[in-house]
Amino acid sequence: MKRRRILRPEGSLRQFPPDPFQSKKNMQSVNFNWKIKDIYLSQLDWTETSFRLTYNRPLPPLVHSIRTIGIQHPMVLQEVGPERYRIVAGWRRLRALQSIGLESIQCRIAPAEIPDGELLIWNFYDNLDRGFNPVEQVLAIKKMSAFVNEKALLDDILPLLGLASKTEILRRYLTIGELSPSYQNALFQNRLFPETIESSMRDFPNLTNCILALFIFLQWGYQKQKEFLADLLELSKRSGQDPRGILFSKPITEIFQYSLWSPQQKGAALRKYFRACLFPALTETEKAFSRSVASLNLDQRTKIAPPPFFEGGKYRLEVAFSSNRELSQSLERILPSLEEEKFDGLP
Amino acid sequence: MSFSFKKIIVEESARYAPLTEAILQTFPNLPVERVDQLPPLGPQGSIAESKRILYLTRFKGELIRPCPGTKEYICCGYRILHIGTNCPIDCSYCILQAYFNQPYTRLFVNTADLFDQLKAHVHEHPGEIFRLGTGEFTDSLALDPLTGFSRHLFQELPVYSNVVVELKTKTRAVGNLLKEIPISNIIVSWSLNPQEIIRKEERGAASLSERLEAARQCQERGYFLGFHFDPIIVFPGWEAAYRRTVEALFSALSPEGIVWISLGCFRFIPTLKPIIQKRSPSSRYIHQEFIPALDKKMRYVQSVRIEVYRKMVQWIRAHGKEITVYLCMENSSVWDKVFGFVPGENCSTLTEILDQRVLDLAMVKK
Repeated sequence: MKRRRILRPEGSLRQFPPDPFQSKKNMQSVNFNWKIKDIYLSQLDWTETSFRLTYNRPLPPLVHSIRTIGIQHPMVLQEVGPERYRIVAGWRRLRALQSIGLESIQCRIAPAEIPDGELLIWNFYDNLDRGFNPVEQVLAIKKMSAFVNEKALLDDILPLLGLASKTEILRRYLTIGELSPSYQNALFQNRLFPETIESSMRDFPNLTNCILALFIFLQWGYQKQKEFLADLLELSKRSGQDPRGILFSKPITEIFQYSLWSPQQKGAALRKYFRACLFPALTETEKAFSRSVASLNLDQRTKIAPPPFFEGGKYRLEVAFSSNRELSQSLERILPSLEEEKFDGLP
Repeated sequence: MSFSFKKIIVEESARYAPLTEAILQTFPNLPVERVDQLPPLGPQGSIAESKRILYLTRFKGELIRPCPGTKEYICCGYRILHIGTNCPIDCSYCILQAYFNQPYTRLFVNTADLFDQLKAHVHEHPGEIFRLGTGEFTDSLALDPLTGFSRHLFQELPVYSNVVVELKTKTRAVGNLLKEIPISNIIVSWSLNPQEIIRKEERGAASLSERLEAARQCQERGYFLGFHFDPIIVFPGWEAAYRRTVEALFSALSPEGIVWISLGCFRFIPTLKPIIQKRSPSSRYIHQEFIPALDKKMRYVQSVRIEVYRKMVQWIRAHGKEITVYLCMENSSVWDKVFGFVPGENCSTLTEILDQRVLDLAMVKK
């Protein structure tokens, strides 16, 4: 079997080797002089996944399809030794055939001299019409970056994957390509997101696993994950404290040790704690506001809303009522505070 | 203090202006590039590098314009006399960093147009007081030794009884001013901060003691002075530091000659934060509690600002109860809690208060 050792500089965007397909036109023209051959499934090297760009696509529907109408699209193999083949395209179809109990199948055999890069690109285009989920996008970019130069990735591959043709996007997917495969499922299920994975890896390299596990546990969406990462970074910079020290501080560990709370409740408590740390003066103002409002002795139908962030000092008084009597009762509760100028005590 | 440039770019329209010729004669050895219009600096150009390129151009728009205030915050009604943008001083908090579509240290060489426009403005608004300043988009005096702009003011302004130009600076470049006989149309003012802030955050600016010494020389010469504690930056030990700064101010200067002192807490547009983080990674002040304010700028929480202003006013007024102290771009709630009144609410507007101060000056001079 031909295996290429790919040397990659650490800590920077990798240097791309020369691109065998320098333009989209060339990429579209990829074609080989196939041989057609009957292959026993026992001749396949199932451990060789260099060209695999598929993640978490269920097999039963494909098995059902093959049982009904047979194989419509031939698999592509390449000979890697005497009577040994690796799978270029059609890994799932072959697995489906195996599960049906078929022993051999007619396949296309790519010439042995075709380099890996061309085979990978062929498989990429072969899979293009089915679309790519987030894990497959990462797999495709990671694998193709070994063979395709940065410009071709940006100009051709990213748009075909449904991604914006931007360097920052390419870097993001290359970065998360280095992440442990154990997080692929969370990425697939939208419990982790490319942006937040990248931020975790970039800003908290020693805490990435901890943070990603936390996100999965708390079942936070994208916005909450993003805010948490920004807040943790800001808190760390503000206090000069190591992020690990913040994350494993007593108030936070206590939140997670409280066994009666659901993940959602723990997440809410964590966000509240972070907010109090980031906005101490605002939190104090909010408390002072609550105390002032309580001292006004208003009824349940009367609400006072402060200006956003208490900026500007314009408060809103709202009285909900359904009758003259209700409004009169509410106003009677307001008037004494007004006469005593208690509203001037609002922060 | 002198600033070194590595190159001069001359726009074709500015080529034959007297100021251009004078500047080129001052720097005979500097490379000169002539262009038809503003060239893009390119992504590789840094702000620091950009500041070392002097760009001479004619400004084709309004050279006199109102200060860009917002309705939620009380504006002093100052007008900008637009002599250039950017300056050789490199303050970490400078808002101009966020407007990098206007690179280089840009000087407008069409000085005569500026005074023509001033004449027209004054003619169109008879009876109005014109408080003008050149320090909004650049430092008023940093390039004065090079441009001699202040000398033009001495020639052009005395005919106006209702025009005052405030020259706001962080330098000690008062040489040209000290050569002239002061006129009531010119107020020289300094932005002040504690020396620890100046040292860390105002790269290339004069030290506090240098600024106060320059101010002392101007006061001794007979100029009226202004001071601006803006931006006030809250940091551990800020109270002692700002109190020391106020004390240093009044140790060096007599309060009688001070026209006004303004206060303004640090605020910034959100896009400035990553620029400060990148250009000044050791600056801690950006990592504080800020809230999005009504003008979309990030500000300290109102309660913090009120505490800062109350203390500053107390320290300043300890040296003279009548010293005019005002807040730059603050809301009415803050004014009320700091001063017990809101300009324009059953009393004079801030514009009127400061205009009156200008009229008082004119009386004093007479």
